[in-house]
Amino acid sequence: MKIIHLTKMKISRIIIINKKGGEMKKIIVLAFSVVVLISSLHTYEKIVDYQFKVRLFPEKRTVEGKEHIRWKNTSNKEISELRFHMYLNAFKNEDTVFMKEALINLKPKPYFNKKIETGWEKIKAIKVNGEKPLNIYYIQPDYENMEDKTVLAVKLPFTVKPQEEIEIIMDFESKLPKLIARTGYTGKFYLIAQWFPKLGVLSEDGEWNCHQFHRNSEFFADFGDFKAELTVPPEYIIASAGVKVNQWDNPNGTKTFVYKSEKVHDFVWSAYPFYKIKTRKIIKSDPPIDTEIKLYTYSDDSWAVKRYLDIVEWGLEFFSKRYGKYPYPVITVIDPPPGAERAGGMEYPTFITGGRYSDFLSKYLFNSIEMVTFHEFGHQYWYGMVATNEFENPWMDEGLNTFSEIEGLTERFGVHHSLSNIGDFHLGDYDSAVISINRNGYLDEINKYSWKFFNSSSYSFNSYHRTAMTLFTLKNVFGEKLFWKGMREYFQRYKFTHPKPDDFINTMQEIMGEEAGEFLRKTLLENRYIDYKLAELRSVKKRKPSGTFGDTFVKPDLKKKDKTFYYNRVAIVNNGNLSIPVDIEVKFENGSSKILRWDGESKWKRYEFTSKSKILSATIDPNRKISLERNILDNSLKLKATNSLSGYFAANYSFMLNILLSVFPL
Amino acid sequence: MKNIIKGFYRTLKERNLIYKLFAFYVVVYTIFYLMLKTAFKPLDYMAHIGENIKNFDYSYLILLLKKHPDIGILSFSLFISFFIIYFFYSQYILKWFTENMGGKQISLKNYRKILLTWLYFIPVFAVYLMVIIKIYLKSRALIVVSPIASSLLYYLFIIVSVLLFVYIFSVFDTARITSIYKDKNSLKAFFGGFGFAANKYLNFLLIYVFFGIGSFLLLFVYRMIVKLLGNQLWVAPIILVLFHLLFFFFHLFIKFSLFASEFSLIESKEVMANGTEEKHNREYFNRQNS
Repeated sequence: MKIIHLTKMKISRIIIINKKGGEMKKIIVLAFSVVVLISSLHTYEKIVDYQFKVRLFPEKRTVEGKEHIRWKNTSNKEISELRFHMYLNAFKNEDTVFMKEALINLKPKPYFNKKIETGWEKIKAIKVNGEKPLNIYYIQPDYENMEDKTVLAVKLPFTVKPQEEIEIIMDFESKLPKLIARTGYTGKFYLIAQWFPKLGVLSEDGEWNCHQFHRNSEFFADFGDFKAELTVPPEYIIASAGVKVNQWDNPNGTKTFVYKSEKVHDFVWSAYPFYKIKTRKIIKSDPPIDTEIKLYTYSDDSWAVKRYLDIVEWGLEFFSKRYGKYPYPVITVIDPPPGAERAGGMEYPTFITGGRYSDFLSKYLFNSIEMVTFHEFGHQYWYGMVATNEFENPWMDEGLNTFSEIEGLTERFGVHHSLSNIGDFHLGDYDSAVISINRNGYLDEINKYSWKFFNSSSYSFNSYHRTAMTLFTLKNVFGEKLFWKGMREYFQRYKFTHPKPDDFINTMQEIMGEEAGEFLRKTLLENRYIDYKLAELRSVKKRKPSGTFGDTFVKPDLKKKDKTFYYNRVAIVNNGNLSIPVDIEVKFENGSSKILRWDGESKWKRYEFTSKSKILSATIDPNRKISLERNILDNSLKLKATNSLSGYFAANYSFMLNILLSVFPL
Repeated sequence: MKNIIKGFYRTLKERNLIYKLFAFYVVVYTIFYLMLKTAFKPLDYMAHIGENIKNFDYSYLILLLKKHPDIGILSFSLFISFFIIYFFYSQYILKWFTENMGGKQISLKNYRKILLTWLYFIPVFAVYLMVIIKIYLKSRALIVVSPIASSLLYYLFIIVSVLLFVYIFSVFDTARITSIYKDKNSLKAFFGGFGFAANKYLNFLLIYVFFGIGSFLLLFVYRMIVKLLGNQLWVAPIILVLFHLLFFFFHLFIKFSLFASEFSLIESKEVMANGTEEKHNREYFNRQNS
């Protein structure tokens, strides 16, 4: 099945070009048009088809069985080698790339204490089109580390021509690790993710994109259909991606469940004997939704169940309204039990894990259920459907999704209330992004391979909040309506494909204009930041000037002041390395206000003007359009402290302290 | 309970003492308040951070603390210094109180030892905390193996740990007060007081419950007023000062009543008039410890 998206703009461009030419020119233009047309086709193409027949062995902590793959060479080259991700081998020992990047070796406490806690996977037998491969060996395309066995190369005894399909059949065994990086087991709980040998992505020019498993990176794979026959001991309940199509009891006492998932690029499942299943079917026409939410939780806590189901329903509504319909019939949500917190906060196609973390935390202090679950649901769009390369461009899924998460939670709970409300204290998701962006270390540009950032903090700051704030700035400065149009267009155009940074930037530029595109290039591809500062604010009564006027010296006379005019000075400094037009709002004591506009092109700008009233305050970017601002604390000044916030907080905290100290008896 | 009411009555009669304490408290509080206010002062010069506390943008406050860690360090050192002041201040209050009520004179050199008695308590409390957190996490994590066992352990743990906490705290508190009153080697008195404290902890428990309910009531009223104030932040410090005083008064009152009720000071005053104070004290503690 193919779905073709062709933008109106590109059709009109082709027609205009064709009208202008002569005969020869027409041929050239036609050829060019065909190139343009081909390059503008964004298609869903089923490249791979996986079928599994596997069984979970809880006593050995393994999953064993058969994997049957049909794969098509969609490149324009003949290939003679296949590459597989063997993600679980990252947990084989403490010397793999993943474990080293996680600084496991620098910690005195060993991560693996028993053999049973390690994870690995191996192919026991493999045939491609019925033939044995010439050779099977591990390679390290990113770092030479012979202990890292997360990428497997399979040398074929023949070549696969472009558009030719092959069939791979293998027996494999996966040993699940003690819960780590959202995969593995603890007690009787299993989250079985990245558990099978998975093909890398073959690029158009016949190069494999199959990176080693890194601490900060996630995944990248081709779209296709999955069918899994999952056999488990009788007491286990299965929560899986996709839709259950069959189940039966086996003569040996085990149970088998069959799940199917279509137009996805990964398949994950979970098994736990104590799951309680709560469902809610959502059918709406505007925005169009027809999906069942299946929550697998460990407790019957009605407050938690309601909050989970409500937030996923809101996710379906928000994302469908903003970007397009959620196309799958089901979304499975896991509420990891205490002790399995490491399974929380992860996304896979049609399957997410939430983040209750602690009842006390999520019930009274922090909307962790809402924030984590909404974020992971958002990944159904940014990662699930728009399947960018999470190894190479992590901002394209995490950043766009963090932006969507903040927008969605703000729309539902309010800008300053979406994360936490404890007494007076309130904090929104947007506020947390503001806090994150207001920092000193801007060591990396946003668009970078996930393992090449200075450290994990730099990776997450750039990939999540910095990208989100870039998009907020884009939306606020270049127009909200056009922005949403651009985002929707990007989603519609690239869903079920693997877009690259240029695809996103070009789409937004096409809808929002050249300047918006330029802004995105500077902020996403270069290490640019915005840091304005209100450096000076003065407002003094105009007085008679002193000095020699002609031949007469006029003495200074401080008493003779013109009571109706004030001399004012407002200076703004650009401490950043990116300029963007900015407003400065000056407020006066008589209630009036004045807007000064600066293009931000020079290092600083001073405004001098007179007014009838004294200045009260000045604020850079009063509507907080420039979300990328690196230090908001120096963006406003009052001539006189008029608020009593310091008094309020001092009194409040003194009172709280008093209560705290009162536990120490006299 | 009868003793506590008697203690209330005796406390009410000591007006001079309460005036002095109020004056001292206002001075300490004002210093602390002004220092904190200075730390938060930059907020008063920022425009556009919310007109009132309801729409105040807390990201500014957090960023202020993040960008100026000195404020955090200052606040923490203020907390520590206030804690020390509060501690010695508490002991002085106790001294004044016992003297005014005609009880045993406590020498000032004893305060160092009193502080040490608190230091005995801290590691015990820390170990206790570590143990209960560990048990709590284990009981919750057991859910991945057996939800029933997890629930049983969890609820059992909650009940036992709360009772144990109250018991330990009350016993320590009683032992501490006993050691102060006895005015001898504080460590010896402190541990010697355990027998007495173990017998009396239910009385203390009653007072703690009463004190706890009162504190929450005050906190609730305070929150209500802050909510009603909303747009007029400048009123908050004034209201809060009044609440501080009210809270302090309440705190003192409960403690004095507790002390008076537990140590039968009315009796000791009468005994002192007869010049047999030491004998009485010896007999009293022997009786309580037996």
